[in-house]
Amino acid sequence: MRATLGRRAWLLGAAVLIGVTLTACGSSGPSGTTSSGPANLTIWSCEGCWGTNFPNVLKQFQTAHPNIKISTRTIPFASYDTTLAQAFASGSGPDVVWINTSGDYGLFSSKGYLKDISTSVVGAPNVQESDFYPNEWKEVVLPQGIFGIPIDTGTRALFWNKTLFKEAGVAPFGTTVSWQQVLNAAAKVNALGGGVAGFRYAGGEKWSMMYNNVGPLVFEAGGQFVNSAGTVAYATSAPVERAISYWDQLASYAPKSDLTEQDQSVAVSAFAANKAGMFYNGFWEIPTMMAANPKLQYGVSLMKDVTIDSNTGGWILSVPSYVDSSKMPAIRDLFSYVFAPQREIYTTSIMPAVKASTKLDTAISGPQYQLFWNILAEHAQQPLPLTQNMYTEATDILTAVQQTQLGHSVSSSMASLQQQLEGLVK
Amino acid sequence: MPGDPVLETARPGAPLRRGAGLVRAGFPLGALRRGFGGHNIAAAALWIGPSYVIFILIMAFPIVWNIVESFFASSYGKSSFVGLANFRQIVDSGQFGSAFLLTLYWTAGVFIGQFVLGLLLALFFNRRLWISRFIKPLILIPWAIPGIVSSTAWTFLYSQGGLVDQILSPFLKTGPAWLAEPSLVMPAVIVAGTWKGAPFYFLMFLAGLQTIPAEMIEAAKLDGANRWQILTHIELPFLRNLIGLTSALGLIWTANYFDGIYLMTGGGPANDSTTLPIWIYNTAFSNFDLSEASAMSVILLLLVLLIALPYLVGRRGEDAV
Amino acid sequence: MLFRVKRMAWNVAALMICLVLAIPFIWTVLESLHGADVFAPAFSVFRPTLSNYTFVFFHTQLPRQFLNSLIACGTAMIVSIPVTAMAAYGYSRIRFRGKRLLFFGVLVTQILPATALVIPLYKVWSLGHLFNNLVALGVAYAAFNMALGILLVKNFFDNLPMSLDEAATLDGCSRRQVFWYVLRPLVTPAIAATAVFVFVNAWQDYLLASSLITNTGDFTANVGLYAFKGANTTNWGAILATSVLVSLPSVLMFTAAQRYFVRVVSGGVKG
Repeated sequence: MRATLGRRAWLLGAAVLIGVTLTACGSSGPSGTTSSGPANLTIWSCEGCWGTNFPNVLKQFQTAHPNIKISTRTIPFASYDTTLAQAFASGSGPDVVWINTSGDYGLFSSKGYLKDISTSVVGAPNVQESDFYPNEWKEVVLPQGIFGIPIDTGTRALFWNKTLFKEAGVAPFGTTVSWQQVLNAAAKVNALGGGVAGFRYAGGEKWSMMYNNVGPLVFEAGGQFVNSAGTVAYATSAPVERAISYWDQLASYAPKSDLTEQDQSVAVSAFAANKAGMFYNGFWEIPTMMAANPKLQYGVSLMKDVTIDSNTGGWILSVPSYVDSSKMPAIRDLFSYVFAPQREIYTTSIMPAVKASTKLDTAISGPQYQLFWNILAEHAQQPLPLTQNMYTEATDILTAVQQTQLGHSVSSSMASLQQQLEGLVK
Repeated sequence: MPGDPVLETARPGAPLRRGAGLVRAGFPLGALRRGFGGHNIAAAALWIGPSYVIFILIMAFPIVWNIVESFFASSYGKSSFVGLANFRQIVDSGQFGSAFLLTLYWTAGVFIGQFVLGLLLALFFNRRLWISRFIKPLILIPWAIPGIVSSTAWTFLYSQGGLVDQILSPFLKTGPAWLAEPSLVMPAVIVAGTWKGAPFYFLMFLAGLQTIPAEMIEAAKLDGANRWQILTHIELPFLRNLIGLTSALGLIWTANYFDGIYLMTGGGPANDSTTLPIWIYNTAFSNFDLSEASAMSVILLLLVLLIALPYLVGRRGEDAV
Repeated sequence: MLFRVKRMAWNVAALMICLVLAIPFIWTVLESLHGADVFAPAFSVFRPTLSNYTFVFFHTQLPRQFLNSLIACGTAMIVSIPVTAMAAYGYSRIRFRGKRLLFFGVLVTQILPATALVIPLYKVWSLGHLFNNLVALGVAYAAFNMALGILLVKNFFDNLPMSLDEAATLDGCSRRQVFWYVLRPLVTPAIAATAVFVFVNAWQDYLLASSLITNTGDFTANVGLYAFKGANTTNWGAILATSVLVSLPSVLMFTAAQRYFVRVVSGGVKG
């Protein structure tokens, strides 16, 4: 109801703005060509991380600012962290860099690798708090300062297989669905047998655990593992224990081998082949799924019980701390240019963090993406805290959850997790 | 041939007694000694120099850096000397004992597996078969395949209903989750690791077997030795030093190995396959706490040296080194 | 007749062994022919398609990256073969003070895990402006892989009795000539094994190449392969097709080196 109205309004708005954008495209950006002196900037990002048309945006920027030269480097995702660590440790590397929210932002900023840009860049046109989705902005604001501008985010939801649901006699889900409904559906689909699993997941990979498996459940229940300052741990709190217990039940309808599965694609492949009833991941799986099985019939829903879902995972644009302050005016201009709504959509291949960009993002504007946009706009109230020990926290949480699935009691596993997390937040 | 001074003095694995045969013939060795014997630094520099130049250029700094770095801790870009604090922190953490034992389990299991498989393959293919020219190179494939692909393939084979389960179906009713059962995960990754690295041992042993003089084997056969005796009395003793060095290096590499296990299980379930290298990666290296990572590398280094020590000490009796 | 059958049996057995060993690789090849849906059951009925291969050939930098790998690994081989042979000869045939220590040092080069080496090497490369230099990368590969060669070839030298050297010297050979004409032909299996080893190990490397080569066009094949693993989605079809291609050069290398794995007929002195 509300979704339909919103969709119509957005489609209309999109049509209008597409027309406006197409005519406006190609023209140079807002003024500011003379505010910074000549500069050579290097930008690093990873494979598949910056949008497909971003090089074009950079070309346009250099046309608009003839005395700023930009060179880029694309690093394979698998070695991105290592390469960045090398650059930061040796004090020579890029001037502007993509930083991942999962672990890296909190970590690099706590080690002093990133520059505080709350005065030098924040406040420039297009780079103000009001331009961004509130939760996106909140993520990058740390007590010590602001060390990057959020570029994008990935929202996730529950995918369910219409064909298998029909076969198992499960009523189709609505836009939101309760935990109990999900559990019942998983049980029924699993009972079909013949290699069909009710639910599938990647249980051996820590970011999967945080963003797809238990993380959303914990936030759904109104809880968190660690607070945003990284000073208090909540592993033994009621919402966490409730979420973990629920997860144990849901995971029992998945093949046991998923417990150590490193790769999301396996679950998606099985789903596309009508061998898995449900999985939980982001909208970017949709093209892969449809390519594997063009006749696939699926739906997406929000697993909602107590509070609302949240979005997680994405990239932040930062400036390393070794960058000379003489380059900052040029960098400020670059940020201002790149974060303009009509251009920000090209910095990413997932969802832009800039509010006004949403209507302009035609790449993911079909009806199948609507729920995911809604999450971003309306429901994303509780982003994952980007603490400095996120890597270790995520690893410890993964281990503790695996322990419960191997038969240890939830309370004892959570008690030991609490101990480990408290050891980190000392 | 009997009486041949070369073959008489060349007992497999025997210390080289320089000029033994010729001394018996009363040959003046003084002239030779000056050229061949004696301490000859100039010659050494010429022959060994190039290798050491390359070693020092590339490896000297990293090794020194790691050792120095392990005694420091850095935050906000400032390094401070902390002595043994990093080491104490590592050993005190609850994880150290388990990671240590799993490393030993992994190293022993994979080493034995690779060694035996490689040796068997080398022995099998050490004969004239017209087909071997075509398929011997194929034996290298497990080693040549990139780690990410070997891990994906094995994960798939181990999946429920996968090939491993299908092969074992006469014996097991339902296949267990090989990589998700705490008791099965280590054997499972050890099998995959054995498969991956056995070609190296095959390569080494094949080279070794090919240099055993044919006469030795022929003579033994004439004396009525069977295959097993040839193996244990001629081939293995002849290859004793080769086996020693291959084992020393193989153990070192296996102990340091990280890729395969991590890509298959991530160290799971619940750290049941977290060996030292994986632990280093998980809790230190992905935090980019470089000092702690260096300290862990130093610990791993010491462990690996312990493994290599028997090889070096065992050569003390040799004249060669 | 029985002999023929027995021969055939050996050959068939050899083939069977190879096939069993190659099962994971066969899986990889079959999956790579699947087109879009890479994880569908490999051994079931399917329509093979070369779409993954045409993609990596024509729409990626893979051919160029293959060349880069060849340059780096070729350099590693060319540098390491003579250097290890010479060093092995030195450890085997020359007595000098401190030999044991230097020999120990060779082993020491192997004890650090790769992950501990990457960051300091990056600093060294940065100082020397050696990024994207495939030859420098090849030298690094040689440094990491020479230890085995030195130990291996030295062991083979040790098995050759000193009387060979002495006899040749009596005939008027200098040390260099003894090495080249008398000893070297007898250790060719070891040198061949070293060459194959250095090539295969260098070809496999990912960590070093990804740190020290920064231009996509200069990537080695293995780094190019990992580039298909994206942040959110992974192009498994491309990864599998590339893996099949990337596995081949090592096999070809061994095929080329096979003729050096020849049994030495006699170690005796002639004439």
